[in-house]
Amino acid sequence: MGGMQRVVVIGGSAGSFQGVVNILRSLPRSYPFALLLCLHRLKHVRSGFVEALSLKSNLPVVEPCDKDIMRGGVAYLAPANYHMLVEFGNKIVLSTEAPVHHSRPSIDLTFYAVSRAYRNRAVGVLLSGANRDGALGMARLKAGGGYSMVQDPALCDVPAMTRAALAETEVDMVGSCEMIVARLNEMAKEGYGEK
Amino acid sequence: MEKQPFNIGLKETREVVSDVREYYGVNFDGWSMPHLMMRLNAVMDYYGYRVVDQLRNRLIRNFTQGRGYFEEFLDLLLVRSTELFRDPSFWRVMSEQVLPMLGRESENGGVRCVVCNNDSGEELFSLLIVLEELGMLDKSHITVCYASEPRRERIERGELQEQQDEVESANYVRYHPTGTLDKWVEQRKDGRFLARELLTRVEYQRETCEPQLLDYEGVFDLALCRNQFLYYGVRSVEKQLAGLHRALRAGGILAVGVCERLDNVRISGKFTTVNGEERIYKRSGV
Repeated sequence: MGGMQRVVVIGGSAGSFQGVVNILRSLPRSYPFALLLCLHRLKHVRSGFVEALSLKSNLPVVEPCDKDIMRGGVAYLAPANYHMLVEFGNKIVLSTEAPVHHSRPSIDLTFYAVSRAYRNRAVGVLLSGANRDGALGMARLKAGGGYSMVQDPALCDVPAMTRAALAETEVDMVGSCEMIVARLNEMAKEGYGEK
Repeated sequence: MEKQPFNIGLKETREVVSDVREYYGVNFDGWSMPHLMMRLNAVMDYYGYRVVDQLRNRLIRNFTQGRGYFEEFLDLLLVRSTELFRDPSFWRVMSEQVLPMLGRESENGGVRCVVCNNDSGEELFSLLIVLEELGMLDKSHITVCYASEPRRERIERGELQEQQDEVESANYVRYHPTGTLDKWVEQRKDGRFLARELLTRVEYQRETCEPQLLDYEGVFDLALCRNQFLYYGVRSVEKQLAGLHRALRAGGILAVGVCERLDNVRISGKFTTVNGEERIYKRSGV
């Protein structure tokens, strides 16, 4: 992918699986941005999740290894029991740092890392979940010039995560997964973040 | 108030790296930058510092007071967090296949192992438990690398993290469904500890944060280096791998983390895959 890449982080926990599936099957195969899926998951289950998402996704879904290079149009699922960060050069780096909000992977850490590396080319999406992981990270992403979207808490199976984010910062959009997909597609057409 | 990582900037990180090189002769250039920034942030949180200059002043001021403060800094800098029997399926493969194979290849049925992690000792402790369960520990030699004295002292005491009790017990049961971790862990007044007798065959080797095992050639049957390379850039990983390759005997086994791989580094041709899923490799004879 030429030039600097745009990166979308999708964070979710309890109740977010269907939302993630809706997004992945609605984005076109030609979607240009890399997606980082930071989803709370059972730490000891290393297989099955990426397969379940892949079945329903238009985009390839992979679990990255450390130092893999991100490519546009691919969804990268944070491996079980690792935090997923990014480094300059579109590189994914993993970590065994302590859990954050009892979570590893932590959505906050992915948001922080992407915001630092991509600034106004970072896009954050937060879906249903039962704790506040992602709230501070979303605020940081927004403060760094990134674009922030939160699933409407009224539409979440478990609204605690999205409510926490809304309490922490004024996000750019609150809506359904369909609205989130529509906005992601608009960004791709706009060349979002490109100077 | 919730702590936030990444408050330290790139320029500030480079300033700290430069100070450490100048005053202590230690080079952090091989670190992966996001990790170094997170760790420095954690150090600042520990000391209650809000600006990097406070940390820099401490490092420079303490230089004249001896190495003790720097050892503490190193200990805080290195990632501690792992868990006993992390990746239980890996440890099952080690117990059922790899270690018995290595034992059969050796003259006395034991193995010579090196553990290269900068973690808090859990990889070493897990290995000791498995060797003891196989009846191989008393015939084996285990060398553990360490980069800071406080870290070595904790490992020597067999210190475990209190809050990991439940997680580690669950990991152990996944590794050994009919067993219990309680057999190997002592609950004392001052915390959780590995059973003392398991640590008697361990030797301690001081290395830098990026161990290169320069004192060893063709010595080890097994090198455990799981989730160590995550924290370093590719060039540093290549150097560390070169050291491991030299230190292992031909046919010796290298294990890295299940989300690490060797095929993105130049030395990868010197190892063949034994178990791709668990990232277990064999040193070729070349």
